[in-house]
Amino acid sequence: MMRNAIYSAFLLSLTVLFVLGGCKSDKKEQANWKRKGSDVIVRLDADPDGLNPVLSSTGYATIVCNQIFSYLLFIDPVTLQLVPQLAKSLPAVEEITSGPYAGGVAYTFEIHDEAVWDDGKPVTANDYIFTLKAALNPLVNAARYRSFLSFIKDIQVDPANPKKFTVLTNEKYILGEEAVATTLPVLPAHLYDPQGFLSAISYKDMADEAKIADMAAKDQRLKQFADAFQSPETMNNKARISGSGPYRLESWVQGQSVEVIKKDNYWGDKLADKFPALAAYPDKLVFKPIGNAATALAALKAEEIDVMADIDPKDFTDMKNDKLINDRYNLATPISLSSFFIYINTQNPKLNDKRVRQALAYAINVDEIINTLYFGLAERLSSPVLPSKDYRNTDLKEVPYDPAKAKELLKAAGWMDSNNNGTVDKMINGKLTELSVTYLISPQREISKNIALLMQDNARKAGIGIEIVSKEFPEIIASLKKRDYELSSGGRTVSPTLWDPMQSWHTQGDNRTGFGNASSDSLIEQLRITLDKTKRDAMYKQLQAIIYDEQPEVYLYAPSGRLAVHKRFETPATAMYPGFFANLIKLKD
Amino acid sequence: MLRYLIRRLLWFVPTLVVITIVTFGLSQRTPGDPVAVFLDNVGSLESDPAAYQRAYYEVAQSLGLDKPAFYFTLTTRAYPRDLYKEVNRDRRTCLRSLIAQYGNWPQIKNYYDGIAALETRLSAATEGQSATTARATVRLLYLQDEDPVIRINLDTIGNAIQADSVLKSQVFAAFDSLSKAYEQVTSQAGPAKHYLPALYWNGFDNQYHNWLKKVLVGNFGRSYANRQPVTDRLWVALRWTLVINGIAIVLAYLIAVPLGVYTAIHRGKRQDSWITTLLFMLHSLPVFWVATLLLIFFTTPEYGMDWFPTMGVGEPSSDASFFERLFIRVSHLALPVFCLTYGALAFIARQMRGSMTEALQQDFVRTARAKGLTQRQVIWKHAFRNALSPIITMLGSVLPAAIAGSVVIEVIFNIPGMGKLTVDAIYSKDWPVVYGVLILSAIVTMAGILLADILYALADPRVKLDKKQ
Repeated sequence: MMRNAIYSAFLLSLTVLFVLGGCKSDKKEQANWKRKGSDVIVRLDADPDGLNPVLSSTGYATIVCNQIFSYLLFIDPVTLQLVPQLAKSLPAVEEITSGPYAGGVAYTFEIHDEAVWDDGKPVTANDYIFTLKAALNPLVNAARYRSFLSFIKDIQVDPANPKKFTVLTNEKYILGEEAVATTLPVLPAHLYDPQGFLSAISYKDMADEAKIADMAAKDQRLKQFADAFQSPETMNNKARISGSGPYRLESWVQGQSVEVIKKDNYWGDKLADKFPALAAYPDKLVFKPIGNAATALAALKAEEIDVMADIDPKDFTDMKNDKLINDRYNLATPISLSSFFIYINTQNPKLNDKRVRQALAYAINVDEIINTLYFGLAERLSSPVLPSKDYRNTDLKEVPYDPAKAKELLKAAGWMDSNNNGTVDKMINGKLTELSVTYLISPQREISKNIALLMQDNARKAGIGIEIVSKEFPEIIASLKKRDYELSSGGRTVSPTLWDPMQSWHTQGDNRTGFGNASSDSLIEQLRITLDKTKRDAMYKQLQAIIYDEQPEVYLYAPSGRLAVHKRFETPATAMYPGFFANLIKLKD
Repeated sequence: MLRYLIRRLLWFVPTLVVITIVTFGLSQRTPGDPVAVFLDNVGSLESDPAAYQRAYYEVAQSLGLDKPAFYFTLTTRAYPRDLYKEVNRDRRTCLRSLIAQYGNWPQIKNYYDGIAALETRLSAATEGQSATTARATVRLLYLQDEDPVIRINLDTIGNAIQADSVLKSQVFAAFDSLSKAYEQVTSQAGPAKHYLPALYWNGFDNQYHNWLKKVLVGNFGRSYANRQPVTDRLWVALRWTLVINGIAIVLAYLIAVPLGVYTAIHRGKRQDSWITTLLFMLHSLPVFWVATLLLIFFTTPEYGMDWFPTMGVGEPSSDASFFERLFIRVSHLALPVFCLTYGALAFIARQMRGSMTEALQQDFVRTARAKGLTQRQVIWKHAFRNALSPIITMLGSVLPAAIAGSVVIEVIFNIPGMGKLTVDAIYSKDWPVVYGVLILSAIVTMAGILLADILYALADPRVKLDKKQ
């Protein structure tokens, strides 16, 4: 019932189905192809940082781990809905009304009867519990997951069925199901903890932060487990890396390639018709780390790789007109889950009037940025919510480029060019202050410098001076954290499902602009526990309207994914990073 | 000779210690926080500052960053001796900056404690518009070191508290003492202390000592990036770098030395000017440009010359025959080896030509000719041996370069060698790997110089390494 309430409406705006390689290529084309067969070579930007899903933190590791391990639920590449993977179905969701977790939610899962580890042992609730315990062990370097898991207070296994269990949480949370089922894939307890160090410690104790911290200091088992679990073997050694996913690790030559091979009798094959998240087409996947973009592009032209994501916009535009590429590759531009914007320090005396911030939005020609620097491969934004989301507030229009309107707003806020130097000014605390602000960019990205130059040029026409300051990324983060900046370039990835504004918009979150007050805070707090879609959407729209009015960030664009896949394959292009699911790359008939 | 060798080897020790200290010192000054490397992608963590602090301390502790950096701290009287106990790098940076400006640690400490006190008060205060604003602002103070910015925030908090009478009754005292504490910081500045040096002894349980202890037994620790032992990663990378650079060096010498001798013999003739022009051209072609051109023209079918593989070192299947393996490796390594060779070749050949020309003008060459020796004997036995020293000197510097790898070539041709490893490690702040590379390079550089000295002696009997002999 509630599940329906949450998930029934996800599809609406995402019905545009990108399928690469829809049409058949002719025989003449095929004759030129160097690469044949179902093995897929995928380009990664860098080596994975180990293949232990609890310890590895990069996206590259996740791409490979997702082939070797499986989750209770996974995300559908096209609808971006949660779909069952290890679980037989989406969980039964029930609100807890009494007992110690009253006010929380209980999620009941059942794992497929067929699901087994490589040694034939069944995948059970115990393995799921073990995985969470491993991450909750304070001596294991997995702090990044603990706050996602902290609301899971207990897990009860059905005494009659070791594959059925109920996860008890102590609070309602819109992303609860996602946090419970997709934070970590399930690891085999008997392989990752052969001595059973954690088996005697109950989940309930592990979840009790004070208790477990105390135990970590006194109880040797947590230390022994952490040492064994964090030994290089569990991250790098082929013999120690094993999951219930369709592939097993065949070889990993650092800096050259990671190869995974489809298991001979993968248990999910029988179920893949009914459970698409279990499907796996290629017999072999090879992941090649190639750092240099020019090298990767040459390798693509030479057909040394089959799939490449995140291609530079300029290169991608050239590729569209390149016969060699078009004979061999299908190009796709799926939506991506990232947004770019300008952070504004709303506490800065020059920028604390919202009319000045609105003026800044009118003074930037975003369309020009998209067309000249992204070659049209980006969508405009008007709020933190991507256009593809059904909870976006469509009443909020993208701010057009209008220097005259910007000047008008500045004038209303008391900014005028009294000394005729081209930049508006105002008396602040008895001092004549020019509206000239610094804008932080990172030198690592060439494109951010060009964007900054365009902005500088645009803003000058509205009488706003922008001084570009280039700083290393860690230094930008430091400036943002202590809110000692004026403007800064910014970007963030957004959730494929629902938006939890807590982090960036709540005054107690990692709020970098100084946005918000008690009423926006309470709206956010309410929002993240409202499981009723209609009510929640209304709140989403209200919050977007407040943000739009305050303009603590000037929203620029969401770039599309830029993906090339060899023509002998077909696969859905997806908004999920990196733009494709390697296991779904299927040879055409 | 033996005694000389021993003395030189003993000198390695202090040199290495200095290098380790410099390396370690630099790492302390690099922007970016190694703890943050472990905590990134931590979306929701940052929404809970308390949880973030906790996670931060856990990671910092596991990396040993809660210890003092070195055996002693040499600083000014203005700094307290236990500043390292503030594990959070951002906060420590802020404190340092405040001390540098005002030099009065007791007042600054008092102010910093005041922030914590106010934060605690606020978290227990009655909810409301003002409490929210004050709470959101107060934690920024931990990081802010510039007077105008701090004052804006203090004003924001003050105004918020004034606007709410309930809140005022709860937290005004804490706020008042905080702003007074800040006034004291600015008004009672004690920059004089900055002129008095201070030396604090930290004992042996420090970051450098703990690291050095392990290095001495060959344990460079584990890579932050994938927890593998650093030595394993170095070894894997070193193999490819040695292969590629080794071939390139041998090739360069094999071609350059005869070429240099040839041009020296035919000095001033047409052959010489042609070859010299060609060598100058080769020498002045930037390697990244040539490599990129080769990549574009000779590794893709775009220009009809898809002759070489684009990247990597090739992966022969396990059942491939020796010749198949050889073919795969050679085809992959041909372009990178070419790029590494041509520049070195031009340089060595020019050096060889210069010193050979000089040797040929010496008296003993004329004597040899006068004795009626053949041209071959004169050149190779008499002149050549005397012309060798600059070439040997170069070998001393070529060796370390061969180990350190060529960053540009390895990145462009995607070869997992030392150069690429180093750059990747620096970008990802994988300090254990960077230290490992530096120590290894230092050792090899010293060994290279020593080797050159020994070769001098072998090539030229007049060189005496041991003065006392």
